[in-house]
Amino acid sequence: MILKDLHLTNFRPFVDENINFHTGGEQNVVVVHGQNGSGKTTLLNAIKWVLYGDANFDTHPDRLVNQGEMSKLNPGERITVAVELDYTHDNVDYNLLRKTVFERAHESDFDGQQVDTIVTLKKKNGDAWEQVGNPSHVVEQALPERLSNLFLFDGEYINKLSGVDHSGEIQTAIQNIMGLEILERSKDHLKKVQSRFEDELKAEGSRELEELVNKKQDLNGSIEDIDRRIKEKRNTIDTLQAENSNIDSKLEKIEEVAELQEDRQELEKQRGSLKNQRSDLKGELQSNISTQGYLPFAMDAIEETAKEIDRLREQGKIPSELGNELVEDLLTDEECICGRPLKEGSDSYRAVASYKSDMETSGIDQAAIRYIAHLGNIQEKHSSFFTDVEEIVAKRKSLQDEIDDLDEEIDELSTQIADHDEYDPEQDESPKELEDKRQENIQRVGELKADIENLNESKEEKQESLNEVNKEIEDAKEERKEVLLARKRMKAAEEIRADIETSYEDLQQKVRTWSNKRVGNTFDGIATKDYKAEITDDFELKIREQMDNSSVTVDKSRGERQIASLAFIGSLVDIARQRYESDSESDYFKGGIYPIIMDSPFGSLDNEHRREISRVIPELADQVVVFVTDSQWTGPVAEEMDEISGRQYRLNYDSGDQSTHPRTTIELETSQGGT
Amino acid sequence: MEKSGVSIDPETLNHIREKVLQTEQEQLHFKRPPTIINDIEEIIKNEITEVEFDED
Repeated sequence: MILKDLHLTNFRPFVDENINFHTGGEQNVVVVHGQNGSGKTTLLNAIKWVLYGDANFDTHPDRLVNQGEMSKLNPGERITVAVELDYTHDNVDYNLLRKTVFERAHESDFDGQQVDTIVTLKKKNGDAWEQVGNPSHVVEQALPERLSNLFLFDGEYINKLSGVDHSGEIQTAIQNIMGLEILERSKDHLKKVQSRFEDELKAEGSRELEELVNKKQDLNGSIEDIDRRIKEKRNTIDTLQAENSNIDSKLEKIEEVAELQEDRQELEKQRGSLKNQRSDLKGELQSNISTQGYLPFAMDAIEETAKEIDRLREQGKIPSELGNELVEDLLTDEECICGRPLKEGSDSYRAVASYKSDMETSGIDQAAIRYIAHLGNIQEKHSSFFTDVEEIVAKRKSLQDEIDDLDEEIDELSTQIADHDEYDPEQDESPKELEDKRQENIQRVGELKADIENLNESKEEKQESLNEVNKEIEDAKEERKEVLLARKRMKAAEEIRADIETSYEDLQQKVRTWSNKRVGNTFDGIATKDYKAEITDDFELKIREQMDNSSVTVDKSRGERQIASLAFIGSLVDIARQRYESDSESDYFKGGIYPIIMDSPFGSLDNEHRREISRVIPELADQVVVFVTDSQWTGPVAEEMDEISGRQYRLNYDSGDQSTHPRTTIELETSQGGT
Repeated sequence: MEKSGVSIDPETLNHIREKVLQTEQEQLHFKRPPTIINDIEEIIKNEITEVEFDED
C-alpha cells in the first residue's frame, strides 16, 4: 500500500484540508510539522479511522466533528464528517471514503449524535472508477489492521520497543509481521478442541465391550453344554425305548403272556393316537387365543366406539367434520389417520385421495353405517370365540379321560404280565424279569424327558439372556466406535498442535535472525559510536560495544536505543516486502508493501541523535511520513530532512477566540515532485 | 483392540492443518463471532469420520 491523497472534511480541527503523501521520486519522505496541539496526531488517527473505522484519541474520543462547524448548526441539523484516502495497492488505484453523519441535539451539544456511517471503496479500471464490494476485506488485504500499529505509530511506541523491559513488544511485532499470531491462536484453540474430545472420550468410555463379549461367550458355552446334555439324554431315551421294544418282542414270544402283551400293545397304540389328538387340540386352542384372544378385552371399547359413531352420525357431526379439507391435510402431511405413510403414487395415497371425490355427505353417512355394521360383526365373533374355546376345552377333557382309562387298563395288563415269574428258557428270563426291566426303563425315560424339559427351559432362559447381551454388544460397539473416533480426533488435534508449535518456533527464530541482521546493518551505517545492535534469542533489543575481540552489552543511551528500534521497524517492512515479492511458503501471511507513518519520532533527543535518526528515516520504507513539532523541525533535523523530503507541509493552528473555535489549515511549504 | 483406529495418515493431518489455519486467518482478519473452537472441532470431525474397528 502506498498512500496518495488524504482529504479531511469537518474532521476535528480540519474543515476542508488536503495532503498529498505521494512524492513519487527519490525523496520518499513527506514531513508535516506544526506546533504542539495543531493536529499531527489527529492526522495519524484520521488515517487509522478511514482505514479501519477506529480512531484512538486520547482526549474526547467521541468527538470527531469540527467544533466550529457544529456550532453553526441549529439543533436537529446535520453535518457530515469525512475522510477520503487515495492509495495504490498491487498497482491498482483505490479511493476509500468513510463518512459519518452527526446531528446536533441541542444548543450546548458540540459533539453531535451519530446518525449514520457509510464506507465506500472504488478502484480504478482504465479511466473509470468502479465500486468495490466488502471494503473492509479489501483494505485488510492491503494493510492488515493487526499490522497497522507496527507502521502507523508514535514516539511512545518507539520508546516501548527500545525499553529495557519490553522484549515482549519485539516478540509481538515479529509474531505480527509473520502472521505468527494465527499460529499461536491455533495452538491455543487446538488445545481446547483436544480437551473437548478428551471429555467426549471419558463420557463414552463407560461400558466395557470386552466384558460383554466374555458374557456372550459364556452364554454360548452354556447353551452348547445344554444342547450336548439334551442330546445325550435323547440318545439314552432311544436306547431305553429300543430295549423296551426288544422286551416287547420277547414277551410276545412267551406263550403265557403273549396275549396280554398284544392287548397292551394295542392299547398303547390307541393311547398314542389319543395323545396326538390331544396335542392337536392344544395347538388349535393356542391359535384361537392368539388370533382372537383380544376380543374379550376389547369388546367394551369396540361397543363404546360404535355407540359414539352412531351418536355423532345422528347429530350430523361426522359428515361436517370429515370434509375434503381433512383429506387434503392428510395428503399434504403424507400421513393417514392410522399412521400409515401416504407417499404420492402409493396405493394408500390413491385410496385416501379417492375419498375426496366421494366425500359427499351421504357417502360419509353410509360409510359410518357400514362401520357400525362391521362393529356388529365383531360382536358376533366375540360370542363365537367363547363357544369355540369351550368346545375345544371339552374335547380335550374327554380325550384326557379316555387316556386315563387306557392308562389304567395298560397298568392292569402290565401287572398281569409281571405276575408270571416262571423262567422261560428260550428268552433266558421270566416275564416278570422282563416286565420289571421294562417298567424301570419307562420310569427312566420319564425322568429323562423331565430332565430334557428342564434343560430346554434353562436353554430358553440362556437364549433370552444371549439376545439381550447381543443387543448390548451392538450398542457397545457403536459406543466403542464413538470412543475410538473421539480418541482419533483428539490425537489429530494433538499432532497438529505439536506441528504448529514447531513451525511457530522455527518461523519466529527465522524472522528474528532476518530482523537481527537487518537491524545490525542499519545500525552500523548510522550509529556514531563503535556499537553493534542485535535482537537476542530472548527477543531483547540490545546494544553491544566492541572491545577488541570481544563485545559487552552497554547501557545504551536513549538515542542509540531509538535508532535501533527504528532499524527494527525498518526490518519488519523489509521482511514484509521480501515475503510479498517471493513465493510465500505460508498461506497465512503473504507480506506486502507498507508505508511507515510516524508521529514525533524525535522525542526529547539531543541534536546529535536527532541527526542520526533523520538519516535512518528514508531507509526505513518505500514511503515514510513524519509528523514533527516545530521545535523539532529545526537544526540538524531540518538540515537532514530537507535533503530527503519530497514534500513538506505546515499545520497552521488557530486557537480561535470567544466567538470562534480552534481550526487547523494545512499549507504546502515545499514540493520536489510527486503526483 | 485398545490401540486400534487411532493412526492418522499425514495427508489428513495436513488437510486439517490447512483448514484450521485458514479458518483462524479468516476469523482474525474479518472479526467473525467467536465460534472458532466450534469451527475447528467441526473441521476435525468432518475430516475424521471413520475408525478401523476390530470386532471381538
